Amino acid sequence: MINDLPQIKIKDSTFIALPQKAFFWVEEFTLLLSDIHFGKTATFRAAGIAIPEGSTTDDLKRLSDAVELTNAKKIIFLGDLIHHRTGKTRLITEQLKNWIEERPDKEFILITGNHDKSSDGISEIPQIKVVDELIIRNKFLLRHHPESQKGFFVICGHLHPAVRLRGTGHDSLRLACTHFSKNMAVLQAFGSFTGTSIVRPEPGDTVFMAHDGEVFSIKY
Amino acid sequence: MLWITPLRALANDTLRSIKTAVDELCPWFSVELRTGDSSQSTRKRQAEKLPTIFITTPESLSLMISYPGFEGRFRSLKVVVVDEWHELIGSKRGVLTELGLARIRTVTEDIRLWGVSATLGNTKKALEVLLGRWSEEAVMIGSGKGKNIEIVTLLPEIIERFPWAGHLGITMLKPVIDIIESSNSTLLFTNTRYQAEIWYHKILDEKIEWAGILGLHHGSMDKESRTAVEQLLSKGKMKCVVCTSSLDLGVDFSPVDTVIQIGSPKGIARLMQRAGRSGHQPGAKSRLYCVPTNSFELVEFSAARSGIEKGKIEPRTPIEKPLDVLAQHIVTVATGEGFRSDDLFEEVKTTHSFRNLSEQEWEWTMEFVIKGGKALKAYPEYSKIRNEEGFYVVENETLRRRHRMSIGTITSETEVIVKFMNGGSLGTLEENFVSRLKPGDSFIFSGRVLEYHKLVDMVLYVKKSDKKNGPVPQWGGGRMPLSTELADEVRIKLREFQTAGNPGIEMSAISPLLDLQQKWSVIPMEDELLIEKKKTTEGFHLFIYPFEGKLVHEGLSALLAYRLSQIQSATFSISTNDYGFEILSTHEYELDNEQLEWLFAKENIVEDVLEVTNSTEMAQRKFRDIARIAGLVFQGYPRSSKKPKQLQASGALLFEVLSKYDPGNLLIKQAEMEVLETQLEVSRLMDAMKRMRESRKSIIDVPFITPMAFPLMVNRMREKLTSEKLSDRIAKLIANLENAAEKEDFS
Repeated sequence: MINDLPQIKIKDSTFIALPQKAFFWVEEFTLLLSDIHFGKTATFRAAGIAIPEGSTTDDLKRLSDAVELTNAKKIIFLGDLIHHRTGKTRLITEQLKNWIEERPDKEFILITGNHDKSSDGISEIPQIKVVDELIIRNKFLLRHHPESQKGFFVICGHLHPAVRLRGTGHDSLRLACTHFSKNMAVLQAFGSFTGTSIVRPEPGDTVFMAHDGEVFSIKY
Repeated sequence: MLWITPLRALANDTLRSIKTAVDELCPWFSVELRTGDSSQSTRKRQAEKLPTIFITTPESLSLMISYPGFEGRFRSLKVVVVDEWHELIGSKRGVLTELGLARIRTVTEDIRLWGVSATLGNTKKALEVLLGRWSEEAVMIGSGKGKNIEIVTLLPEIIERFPWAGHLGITMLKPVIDIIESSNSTLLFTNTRYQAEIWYHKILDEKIEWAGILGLHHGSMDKESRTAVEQLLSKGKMKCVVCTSSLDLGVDFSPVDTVIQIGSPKGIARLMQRAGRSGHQPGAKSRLYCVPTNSFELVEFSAARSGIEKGKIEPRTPIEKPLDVLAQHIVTVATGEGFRSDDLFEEVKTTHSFRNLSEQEWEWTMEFVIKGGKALKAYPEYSKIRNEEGFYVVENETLRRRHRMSIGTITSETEVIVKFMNGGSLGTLEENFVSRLKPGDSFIFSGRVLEYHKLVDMVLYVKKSDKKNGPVPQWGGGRMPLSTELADEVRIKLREFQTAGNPGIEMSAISPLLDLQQKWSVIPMEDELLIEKKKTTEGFHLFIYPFEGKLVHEGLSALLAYRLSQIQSATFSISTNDYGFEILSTHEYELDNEQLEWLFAKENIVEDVLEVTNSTEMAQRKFRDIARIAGLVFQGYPRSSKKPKQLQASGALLFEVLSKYDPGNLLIKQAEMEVLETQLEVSRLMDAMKRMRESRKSIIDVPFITPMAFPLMVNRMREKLTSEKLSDRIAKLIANLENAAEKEDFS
């Protein structure tokens, strides 16, 4: 089943695109995801903007599905786990904390993103190991910001990439995606209450779009 | 006295005029301005003591309501004047004005309210809306004689028998330059910003010596350069300004003696207003030159002239109880003096817009602003308005400040700011256009050829390009559909062409085209619906001409194609313009009486339209504005490109979240209603269906694609092909059709 999903090979590693807006790194038994922005709706409410809750539960449910589907040993968040300190309510942190405590056999790593700085870290959940960057197999560099690095394939987030697909006439559709270019992969934002910014893939690039429980890929 | 005006630029002008009068008559009066541009110190002084005559905008009035002490300061108010009311009435700004006036009535004893409006198709309605519950006591005063307007159409030398809306009227460049040359100062109106950029460029190519006295003015240009152009214009230092509706109203440009309109104005009122920009002095004659961009526009110019003569002016429809504006107003009042729920409910109901506001709707809106709506009850972090024993106030100073920043109903598009490398700002472009450019690319904007340097945080840095040319950006939403009133006049003109002895110069000029139309098909009369059928290698074409404007035709064509597909399934492609639409299908339909009856049946029209249009997507787009007005989106602080990043969310995203987690949200319903009424124009569509149902139907198997059908066909092809291939193909098509026409001419 998981073998039917689209995948991409980079430097002898296999990355499977999951319909849950995350990637499974087969050789590392690792789940990669980015930009969840937990507590974003609460941040809005704290600022007097009326947004109802619901997305946090949905996002955690999707995360559970991804973990179950892949049986990953390690989960790496590529930054922006928590949206902002004003939205870091007890309700939100407890929800996340409980979810992590229910999975004691897993390893959790957070690569610090800009939002994680403005939300004062995640010391409430000591199970999550926090690092600035991570080098794996001496070939892959995991960081939050999409900055390339000589000699490495960079896996990152931050951008919330999306592509515009044009139909006939004036029809066009903006879809969130993960963008693999020659030396970099920018992951699709995981959180449901997140916006997007348009990227323009070059020839040779591949994009993966996870939507409504399905995942598609396009090779440019 | 309080003077409310729709435009800041106009406020300055009004200030000057009133001061001139006051200095002579009653020099002890103080006259002052308060707009978004006023300085802190002015505001502070005005907060303590108001001047005798006070000039402001609807947004600034709302802002004043949001400060405590409003009641005391306005208690002695005696007179309110609402200027250019016709500009406000059809918009949410008008509703904001209505609510502000209701507030004033509550805090004052006895005021006299004056409304100043241009003539509208529904002037009486405009009066009712302005006065709300007090409209019984109203008196209407007319200025008597209307303005003397002369409309001159520039006739092209060659009348194309197969016109298509591809050119921009540039073939008329020479005569247009001649007119500008022989005039003192000219305003040249185009319908889109795109056209304005191109016309500016072409004129300057031809008349290099006009550099500096030829100006460009449109809504996407930087405010400073626009103001500079306006000032030079009013001082008589501009030979010509190429502009869009951005100069439809505003400051008095007395030096302007000539107005040129490129392309059809699509509405009678718009043409009158533009004509009125010249000869601004009372009693002076306004002359307007019309330049057709394709032959059919000759009919529209002729129709617009008749419309003006008959005084058939488009009405402006007031907006009924928009809850987003109400939500904003409630928070405004709570930020200022605070209120009791029952009192404010009664006050709001005195306005025309909210006269039928139900108790449930009021309760919902109150709950929305206080607790964030039903779905939000459980979240203690949300508290905007506090309830102090039945008295509602906003206490948190940050929230108060933020709300004041958000007052108003005008929303700006997500746009990219264009700047020179050294910092000078040029204006804004749509993200969509910018996303298609790469560093090093050239493009034309703000009258210059620019080179893309880099894009950082929605700011596009550019430098001057050495190139002579480049693509011109297109902005969305620029296309105006033909108004109902003008469409009616067009139908009359087409009848007169066949029955009247002298149909007028424009109609005579276009007779080669109409004669051919009549030979190959018919020219429809007012009570007749023309349907042309033609089989080609592409498939089976149906050309249907209801003359209802492009917007309505978009809905109608989708609806009819859907109904055709229920008779027999097929693949369709559709094309629309202001006169009619084409349905190209893979199946040939009989169109017998039974099928016609089914096609135009009055049952399920709305359901079918919703079925075939992407109305959800449209509602999502609409929701951006609604969310902004209702305070769900914070646009950031003025004059600062930095927004609080943690509070960013697009309208589409909010729409998605709210419809999923708060399905009863009335703002979502409002977005859907607004799409039905303003975007799909459902009421006009229903009228159109009725008219089609009742019309005599002429179904003609045409020997060739007729002059009326041709632009529709080109439209459809344009969507499929790149522009170069397209013009080749069009040229070939025209040659073939002209050939056929000539053969007939000689036979």
